[in-house]
Amino acid sequence: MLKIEHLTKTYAGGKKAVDDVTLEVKAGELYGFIGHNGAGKTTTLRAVSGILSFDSGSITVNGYNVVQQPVAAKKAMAFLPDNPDLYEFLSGIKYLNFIADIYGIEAQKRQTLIAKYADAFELTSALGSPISSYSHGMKQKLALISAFIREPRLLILDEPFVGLDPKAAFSMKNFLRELCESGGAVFFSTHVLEVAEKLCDKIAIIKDGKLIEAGDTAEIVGNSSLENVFLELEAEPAAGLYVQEGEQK
Amino acid sequence: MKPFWALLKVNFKSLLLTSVNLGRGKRKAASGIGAFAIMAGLMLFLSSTYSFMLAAQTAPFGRLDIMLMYMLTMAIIAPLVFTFYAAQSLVFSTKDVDLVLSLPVSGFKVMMARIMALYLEVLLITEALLVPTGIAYAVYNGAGGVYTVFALLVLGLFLALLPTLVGLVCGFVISWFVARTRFKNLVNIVLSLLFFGLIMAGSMGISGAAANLQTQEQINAIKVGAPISWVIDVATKFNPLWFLLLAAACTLPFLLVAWLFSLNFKNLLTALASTTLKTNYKLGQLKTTGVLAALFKKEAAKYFGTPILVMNSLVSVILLVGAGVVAVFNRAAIVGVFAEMGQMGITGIEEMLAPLALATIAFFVSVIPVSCVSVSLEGKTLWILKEAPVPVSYIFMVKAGFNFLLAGPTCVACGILFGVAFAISPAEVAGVIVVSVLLSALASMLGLFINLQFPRMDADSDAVVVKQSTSVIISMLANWVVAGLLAGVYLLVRLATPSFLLFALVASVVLAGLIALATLMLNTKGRRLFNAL
Repeated sequence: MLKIEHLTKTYAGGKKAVDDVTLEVKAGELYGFIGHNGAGKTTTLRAVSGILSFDSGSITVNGYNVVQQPVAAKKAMAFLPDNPDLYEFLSGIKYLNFIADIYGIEAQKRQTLIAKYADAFELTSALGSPISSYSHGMKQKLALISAFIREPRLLILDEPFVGLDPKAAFSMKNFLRELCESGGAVFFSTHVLEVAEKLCDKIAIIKDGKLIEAGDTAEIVGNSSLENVFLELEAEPAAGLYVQEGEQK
Repeated sequence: MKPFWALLKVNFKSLLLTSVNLGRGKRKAASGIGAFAIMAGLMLFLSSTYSFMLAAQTAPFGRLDIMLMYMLTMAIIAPLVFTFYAAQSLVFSTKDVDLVLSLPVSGFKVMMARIMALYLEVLLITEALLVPTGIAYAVYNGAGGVYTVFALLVLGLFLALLPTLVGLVCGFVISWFVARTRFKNLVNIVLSLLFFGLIMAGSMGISGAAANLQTQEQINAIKVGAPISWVIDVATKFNPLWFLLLAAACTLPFLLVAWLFSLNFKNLLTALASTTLKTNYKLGQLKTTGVLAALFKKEAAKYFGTPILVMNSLVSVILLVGAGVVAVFNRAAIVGVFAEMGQMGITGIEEMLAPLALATIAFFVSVIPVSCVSVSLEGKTLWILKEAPVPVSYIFMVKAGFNFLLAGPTCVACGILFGVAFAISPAEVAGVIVVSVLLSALASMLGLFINLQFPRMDADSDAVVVKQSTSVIISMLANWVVAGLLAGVYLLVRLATPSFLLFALVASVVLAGLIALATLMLNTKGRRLFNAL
């Protein structure tokens, strides 16, 4: 579903935000992406979603290269940034309708999907109000609804649990599982290690732009906790890791 | 006092500069300072031109006080254009209300710092207008001589308080109304149009009166009354008591209003920041549209949701169409003037009408600043467009197309109106319309490209983007260069023949070529610039 190969991104000033990162997210996988602040998580996610250009490497989503076939690649995925700035001049429903128009979702289907997700996130009654009157959590929910109604093959989320109330977080986890069970995949970053440990099938850990660990959650965590594993890895100097399915680490 | 000065510095910089941290954003800060320097330079140029022109007209009749009257009035009215929006976007801004109210600084100091930052901006504009006035007065041997130059410089400190005060009160009234109504943007636009209509009427009154300074009779008809006459007396005659009284008259009302606002800072900002969330929506039938239509609807919603952008662009359209309508209704008078000119031996007037109509339309259309800020106005929401599965060309088409939608029909309407008013032949009217429509299409695409080249994605407010972007100024200059190019084509064609139709044909070909070039630039470099944002 998602193949990142030798991704490198350097910002102006020489800071290498992502350094030769390679990983793969398969259909049906809930893949967690963990790292300290400034490790390169958001840069990676934004590069995958086609928002950020990168220096070298390749990214394919559902078989489409994000640079050479951007429209086809973007049609297959949905991205949710960590702090979703939305069109404040639109109402919630107008924003959802706009997204549905862009993705060509036909009328009856969009109505069903909006009703399903808006009811689950308890946002239906506020959809008529302008987004400028929403709280941060409500904007987060609206952004999530706009992502789910596209029925993406790949869902990319940057810190999705920030700002969500417990009920909304529970609903979101269920929808993420549902998406994976229907053949899609989820690739998300989080600082909440307990959630990543319980929810994710696979985990990748990035440090100073380099991938230092990647693989099945159970194998990485072992008899310890993800928190302990993460802190131990953080303490070691970053050597970089290239892992492909079936290869020895 | 330290917190007050820190707040004053931050607020003043946010009014003038793009980046507070000059170290990290030198290019951004330089473009912001550059934009401000160009504006200040333009203001000095205009002020000097007007001052010396009026001084030259009135000095021979011994009535330099008329020049002072006009320039002092302009120095008080002109800054209102800036204070009006600055009051809403800075003084009564609720964007950072959480941060500001949580600071260990009294609300009084916070509000005073904002008001003083506004005053400092007005002061710069006022002095830019008054200093050339004083110099022109001294050069033309006004009675006050060099004293007047220094007196106006010092008086500027107090006169700047007046437009600051008016801007504060009007800005607050509008912010209050807008916060309380459902159709916030519509109310903002209507109130803003009324406010600017009053300023325009006043300015045009001054300009019109200034044109009637040719004869002793006309000069004598102008009486300089109070309170401007008091200001002129203080500026031209050394009298400390009058000076102090005038300073007090300017300062006391300002201090009273500033003190009242500052005292009620927390209540005011909380009231302005409060919004009502309606929770009674029921999901109904949803309409679908195509991708281009959806993008266009979004662009239109953004346009009408940005009152300052609507104001900036509508003013040009309204002035141009208004001029056309007035010309039609005064057709008989215009024809009479041309007949008189013909009897005075002035020939070739009919040949100039179509080019003049085209030049007028081209000038106003070139200052419709929509596409040149459309990318910047995406700001932090740009990720939505970049993530969307739409070709970049669609996004460009919509952004340039929206600008053209405002400018194109304006060209057609005004071409017809001027054609009727000046009795221009239908063929020449068609020529005016075709050239001006092509010019507006080019301006729309150029504006977009220039905005991609000079984006401003981190502005605190839409007002900053619309009023202080480098792309707006460069876009305007670029359009004037194109207009100059067409003027050159006109002169070249005229060497061979006075036929306007031939010029229109050649100009159309030139513009079509430039549009093709602009299309290529947008599809190549423009695409790369957009992807790099």
